[in-house]
Order: sequence, then C-alpha cells, then structure tokens
Amino acid sequence: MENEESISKLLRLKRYEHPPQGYHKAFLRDFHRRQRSELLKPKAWQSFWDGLSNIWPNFQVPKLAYATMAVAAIAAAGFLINAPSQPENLLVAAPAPHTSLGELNVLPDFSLEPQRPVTIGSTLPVSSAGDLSQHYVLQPRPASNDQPLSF
Amino acid sequence: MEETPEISDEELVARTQAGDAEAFDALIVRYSSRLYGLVYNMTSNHEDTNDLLQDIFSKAFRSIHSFRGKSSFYTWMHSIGVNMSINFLKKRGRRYTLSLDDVDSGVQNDPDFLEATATTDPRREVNLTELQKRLNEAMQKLSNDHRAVVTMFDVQGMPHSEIAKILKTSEGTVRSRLFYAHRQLQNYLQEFMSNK
Repeated sequence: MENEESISKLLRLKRYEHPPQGYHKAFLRDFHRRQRSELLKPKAWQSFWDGLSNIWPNFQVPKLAYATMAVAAIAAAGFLINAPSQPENLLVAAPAPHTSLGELNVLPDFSLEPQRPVTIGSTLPVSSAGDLSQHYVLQPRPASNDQPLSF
Repeated sequence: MEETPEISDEELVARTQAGDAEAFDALIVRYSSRLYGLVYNMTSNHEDTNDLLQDIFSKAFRSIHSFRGKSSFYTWMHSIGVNMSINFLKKRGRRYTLSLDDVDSGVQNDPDFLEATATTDPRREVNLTELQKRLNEAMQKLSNDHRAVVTMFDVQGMPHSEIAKILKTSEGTVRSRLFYAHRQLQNYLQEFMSNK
C-alpha cells in the first residue's frame, strides 16, 4: 500500500510537464490552417482521373467503364452457368478418413427372416433338393478369378 | 463588469452541429490542454503529440454529428484521444525517441519532488531532468493499455468510474490494470521511492 502511494506521488510530478508558452494559441491557428489545406488537397481518386485524362485527353471514361462492366458481368454469368458440376459419386467413393477398424468389422445378420439375395461380388447358385428358394453363397472374389486347386 | 456565464459543452456541441465552426473552436480551447496531457503522457514525445492532437480534433470535428450526447463531450473526446493514441503507438512500435516538455519550475517546491530526490542514493545527485527522463522511460515500458490507465488516474487525476467509461470497460478492470502497472513501475523507479 505504501509502495502504491509512493509511486502515485512520483507519477503526479508529471503534471509539471507543460508544452512551451503560447502553444495552445498556436495550436488553434495550426488547426485552422490544416483544415484549409485539407480542403485544397485533392482526393486520391481525383488525382488518378486527372492524371489519366492528361495522358489520354479524349478518354471516354463513363462509356468504356459501363461497357467493360457489362461484358465482365456477362462473362461471369456464362462461366457460372457452364461450370462443370462435381460428380457426386466422387464424393461418395472417397474413404472416410476417420473410419476405425471396429466399424469395418460388421457382424453378420443372424435374424431368422428370409435372406434377400446379395449381389456383392460374384455369386454362385447352390442347388439343393430340399430348398424351395434359391440361395446364394458369397464368394470373396469373382469365380472366374479362382485359382484351381492343386494337390 | 458583468461576467458572462460559461457556455456549456452541450450548447457548444449543438451549435457546432448546426454549422457554427467557431463553437468548435471554443471546445478546442477548452479541451486542448487536457487532451495534450493525455496524449503527451502516452507518447512521451512533443512532436508526435502535436500531430496526434491535430488529428484527434480533426476527427472529432468530422464526426461531431455522430455525437448523440449519451456520454459527456469530455468522455467522448477522451475516448477518441485514447483510441487514436493507442493506434498510433501500435504503428510506432518500439522505435521512439523521448522529446520531453519543459518542467514547470514550481516542481522544485513540491514536497513529493523533494521526497523523491532526497530518497535517492546520497552519493549520487539526482537532478530534475534525470527524474523526468526516468519517469518517462518507465512509462514507455508499460503496455499501451496500462499506460493509458496510469496517465488518466495518476497524472490527470480522473476517477476510476470516468476512466472505465472512456475505455468502455469495467471499474474492476481499471483497478486491476492500475495495480499491475504500479507494480511494474515500482521496479523501474525503485531508487526514487521513499520506502525502498
């Protein structure tokens, strides 16, 4: 607490620092002078157009500007309409980066309901006298690619 | 001679908003000294202060129509002053030179000055110029936010509530900034403090 007061006392001494005598009167004069010079100062875009018209006196700025803007707008619209859309299946085929091993190990369906034929990969019909409906056995690879058994 | 009553800030602002530029001159005369103190103690450089003060009043004049009187004109002006000073200091970075004002000779009789110079190492004579330089160097070591609070509270004597309004923050934040700024300044100015 004493330190706090001591530092505050020191800082209060800064109140004795003053600008030179007559500074504030001169400040107001300077403020008016700056305001007037700001009014006379040309704007940046104005200087640009002045410079441009000096280089090319017959430059038809508004007409050309409107024509250019119209052409640019038509071109942009045409590009947007004709832009090829991204095929959706590309997005579907992309592997999910966060798929875990556990998610890939899908358990087989043990329900008693009749199985619908599965058409993943190639399937081979299994004929059986007792079976009324046709059954298919899933093969890990297409049948045509099976290696012949050799003993 | 009859004393003319002082025109209120609100009246001068209303006149300025109505197009009377001289009314704004009266506001400049009224506030330039206090705002000078604010900016000078933030920058520790007279030339920078002069340029910045011109810009501050110029901005205030341009945006006087946006002043709706929700706060006092004094608070509004100080908000512009603090924000513009902080923006300037961010751009200036660490490249700065001290360009200090004259110190009023009255300081020689100030008991706080006598105490500060008496508590320094007796083997070394500390003069006014050195104390001023050390004070300003210490101020410049503070962050901009801390320096703004120290300037308004310790140097300009504003209450916490007013500072909080100017900085659009809570009084607690102002007190906290002051506490940390003082602690930092104690390290820099240890040799001038009475209970070292």
